[in-house]
Amino acid sequence: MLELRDISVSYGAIDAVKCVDLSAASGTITALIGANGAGKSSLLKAVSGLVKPKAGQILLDGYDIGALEPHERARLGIAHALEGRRLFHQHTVEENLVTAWHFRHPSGDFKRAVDQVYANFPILAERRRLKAGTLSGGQQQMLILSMATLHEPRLVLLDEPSLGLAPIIVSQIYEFIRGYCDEGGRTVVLSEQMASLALKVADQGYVLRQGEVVQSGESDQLKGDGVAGAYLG
Amino acid sequence: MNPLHMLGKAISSPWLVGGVCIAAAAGASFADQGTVQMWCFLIVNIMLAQSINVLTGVAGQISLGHAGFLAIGSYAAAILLKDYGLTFPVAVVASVLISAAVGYVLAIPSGRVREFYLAMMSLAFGLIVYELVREWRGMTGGVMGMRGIPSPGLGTLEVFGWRVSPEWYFRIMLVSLIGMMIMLRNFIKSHFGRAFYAIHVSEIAAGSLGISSGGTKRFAYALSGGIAGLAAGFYAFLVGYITPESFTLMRSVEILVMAVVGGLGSLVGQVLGAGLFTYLPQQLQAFSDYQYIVYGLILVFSFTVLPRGLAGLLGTQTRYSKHDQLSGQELELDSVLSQRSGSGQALVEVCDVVMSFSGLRALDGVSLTVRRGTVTGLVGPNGSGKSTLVNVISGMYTPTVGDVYFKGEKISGWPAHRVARAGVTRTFQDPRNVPSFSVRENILMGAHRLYAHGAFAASVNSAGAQREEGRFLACTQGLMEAAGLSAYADDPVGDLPYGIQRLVEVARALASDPELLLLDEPAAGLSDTEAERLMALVRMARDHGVGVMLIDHHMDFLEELVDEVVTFDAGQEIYRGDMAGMRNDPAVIEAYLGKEETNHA
Amino acid sequence: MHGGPYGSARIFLAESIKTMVFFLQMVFAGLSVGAVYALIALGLNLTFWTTRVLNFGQGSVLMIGAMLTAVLIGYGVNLLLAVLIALAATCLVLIVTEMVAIRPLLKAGGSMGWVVSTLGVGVFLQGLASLVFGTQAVAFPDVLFSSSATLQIFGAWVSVQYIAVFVISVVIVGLMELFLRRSTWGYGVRAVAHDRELASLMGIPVRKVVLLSFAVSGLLAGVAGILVSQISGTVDPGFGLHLLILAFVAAVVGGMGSAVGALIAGLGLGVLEKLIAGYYSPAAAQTVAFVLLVAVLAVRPQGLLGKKEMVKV
Repeated sequence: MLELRDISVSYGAIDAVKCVDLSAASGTITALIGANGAGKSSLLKAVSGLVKPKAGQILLDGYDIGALEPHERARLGIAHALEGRRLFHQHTVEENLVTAWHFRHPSGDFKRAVDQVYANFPILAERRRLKAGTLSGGQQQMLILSMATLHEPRLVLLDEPSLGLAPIIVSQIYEFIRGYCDEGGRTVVLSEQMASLALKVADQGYVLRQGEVVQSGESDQLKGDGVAGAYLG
Repeated sequence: MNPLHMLGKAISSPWLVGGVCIAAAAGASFADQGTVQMWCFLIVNIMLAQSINVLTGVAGQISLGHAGFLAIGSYAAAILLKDYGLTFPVAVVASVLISAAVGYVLAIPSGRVREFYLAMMSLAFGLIVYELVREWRGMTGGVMGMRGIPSPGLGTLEVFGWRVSPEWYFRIMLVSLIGMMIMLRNFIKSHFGRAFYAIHVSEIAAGSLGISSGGTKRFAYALSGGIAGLAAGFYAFLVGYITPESFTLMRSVEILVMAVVGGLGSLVGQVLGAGLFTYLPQQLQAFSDYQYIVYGLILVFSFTVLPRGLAGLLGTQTRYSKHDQLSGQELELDSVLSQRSGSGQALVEVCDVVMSFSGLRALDGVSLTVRRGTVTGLVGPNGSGKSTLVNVISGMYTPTVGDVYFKGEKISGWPAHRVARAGVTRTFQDPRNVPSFSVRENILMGAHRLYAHGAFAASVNSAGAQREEGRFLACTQGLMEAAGLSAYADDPVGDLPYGIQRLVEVARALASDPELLLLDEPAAGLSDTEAERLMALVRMARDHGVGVMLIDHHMDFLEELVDEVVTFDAGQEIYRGDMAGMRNDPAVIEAYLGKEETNHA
Repeated sequence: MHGGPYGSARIFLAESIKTMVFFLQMVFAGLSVGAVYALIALGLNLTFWTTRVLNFGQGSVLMIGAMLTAVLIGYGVNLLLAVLIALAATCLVLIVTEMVAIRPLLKAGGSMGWVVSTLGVGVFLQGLASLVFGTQAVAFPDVLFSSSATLQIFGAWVSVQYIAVFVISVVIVGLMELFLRRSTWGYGVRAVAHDRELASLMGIPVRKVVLLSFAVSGLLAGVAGILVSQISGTVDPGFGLHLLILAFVAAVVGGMGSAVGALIAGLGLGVLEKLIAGYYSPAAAQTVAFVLLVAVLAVRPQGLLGKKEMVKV
């Protein structure tokens, strides 16, 4: 349902992504693995519209979305959780959820969606009136994931969701992601530096090195020394 | 060269300028008083334009209230001569000093705020001087202004018994202008001018070269004030009658318009801008009605339509080195860097450093030693603290806990420019060169901390200053050859490919003749040839006894260079040793890839 | 009358009351004008939040709002219509400013560009106004109540206009604060102010939010211009500058992120200004404002209620 054809992204003189092809079927989790600077974030930003690719096409369910602005793509059902735990720090947990819901004009009931979020992550319910900036790293990531999924988008892009988090929180998060995808009709693309972590939950993976895909395939095939080579030379 | 550039070159040729000045000086005797007075006004405007250019165009400190300096200087000169009996030359000098002092004081709060706060403050400064001058009736005559100021036009200005006629007043002004311009030109082309421009472009990068942004700003403000004071001193006696209405916001806007249209950053441009806006209002009768409208439109559109002003059009932007003035000295390639003794000795010691940002521990108890004449690699996943360590050593951050020692001295807590001056030079993840400077000028700027000659010597091109500048130009030449950059010597760095920019930054770092070199991801984005050249530079440094610490992700690059590699994860050191060992170390593998599940049962 | 054993006491009491009355009158005038400073500061803040740009031409926009109102009423146009036309004009000016003087310069990068270009807009408007309306001060008609209507508060006679201006300004600031906290548009503005990229990913049409914030800033400027002209009695093409600076001081001292902060700071500044101007001189008052600005920027740049901004390398 997501297809990238020959995507290249450049920032001025630097080529961050070079001629990448990628496809992700509905109901699957795709992992993007690679070292820092490999081009994972740039690729995700190209899909959500934050950067304009120098070349190539982005197809969502066969429809070329290249001309759409980020907010239009968000309204089409693409959610992107940026790296570095970006959310609205000065807003409360509840206000963050309101902001994540309201502008996408989703169908459905906001109250029900929020109740579901609180059911998934009770700790957020406890802290609903606190400013998001006061939450711990793990709690913030739960909030970000909730913001990315509460309106049930068909494509969720997650940039390094496990960065800096304790293992137990990471498993909670990955459990949630798997659960979300299994509901049907949804696709997740996530990027990680920690390859083994991502490959555990993903159905397929792409290994990126300096902007290019050096390996791809089903996650079982990718585990092992080959991947290590992409990082350590 | 396109015709406009040829015109520009012609206009700025010293012969033409000299010829025009001599012709004007002679012709003043024959021209009528009105014309001569116009020439005097032109000189005042040129000086004011140069004054604001030094502050705003070169040092990047925006000034929307520059008429305030003009007011202070004019009133000071007039009052000192009229009420205190000082002679004309002394009054003008006093005006220069007082305005410079005011500039210096203004720099103290201005130095610390962001650009638009500064703009608002400068606007307020202009307004307040205006209001004070209106209120302070006792001193300044208040709203009615000061009358009866001795003036050459009325034949009432005397210096030691000699009555100054309008044409001689013009000649005095012309000579002052020429003297000021020559000194200013030499100053701008010296390391002082480069320092001013460096803080304009990036205070952080300037700090890494030993340039103190606070001190440089104070200098820029004082110099700008002083030049405005010179204009003000002449202005007061030229007009013979000053009121607060000569120093309104409109005057500040006028000065700004001259500088912007002429071309911020260019000395020749200021002359052009001043000329245009001194004569244009005269030629167009209706101009005064439309003055605000025209100036307003110019300010709105000039940065988009003509960002470098007339100077940009004519190609007369100032070059920031004396390369064209001094004949090159020859230098042995080997002596570009000093030979440091004591290879293997501990150079910098990081002791149990913890770096904490509101609860987040970027560095968690790090101890490290870098030795002279060695290359240490620093690797680790994203967010592991590598750049933070470099920032701590270079003085950008003060460690929350722990200390850093350099050559036995505690440097943790020193500001970045002081650390740089001590011999620690660093580069950044994105090359922070000055895009409009040529390769040569950028590399030359690296030598900033080594200069001994002062501002006055630089302004008059003393023998010592010329010798020193010649030596550093030769060093720069040597470094360009070592880095393979000679072909690009006079090209603006901003136009060059990324890899070349990176090499320029590293060459610039070497120009500071460092004892410790910290390189932050220098090989990123480099082609193989460029990486080779980079390696050659690093090896050259090491062979001269420099201690090098190198952050990078390119393992093949590091393999060939480092004597030892340190791996970081989550703010702590997890491995130290050689590259081969690192590849097989389980802790390192886990840091990058995550824990492999051992039980697949 | 002034003789007798209690004569000197009576004189002393009468003098004290006069001093007290004078003091109170200054305070009330200060509260009134301070509330307008807060209103102007809010207008500045609004565009700053969404674009990180401070409109140096805002002073002239105030002037245009006041000028148009005064002149139209002078030509016999119905009061309400005149005000509406003036507000529509200020609204339009801000939108054009964004499109012509700000957006192109933000693309080019650096901060000097938009400072100079927004100042240019201000200068241009001043020139235009001088040309069309003349350079002399224009008397401002009684839009709110009559200039002679007064009320007695604590013994001091206070013009009803002052009170009306105070009330209107405070109410508008309060409404704006409410809008920002509760309405959808308010959420949009706050999101864009916080993190533009993130906001666009939430489906917020950033461009529209920016334009809307400029339009509202224009409205606020127009209203503020009318209010401040009402209490000063006249308007001339150059009067915006000093207001801009004082409003900026209020915004900075109150913390650029806070509407309530701007209100408190504005009121404080207004009272301080009037007291100093009343007891010393207007120039002294401006100098104090400047010194206050410098002090706050040096010691606590985030203002009284603002948050610190960290700069990451």
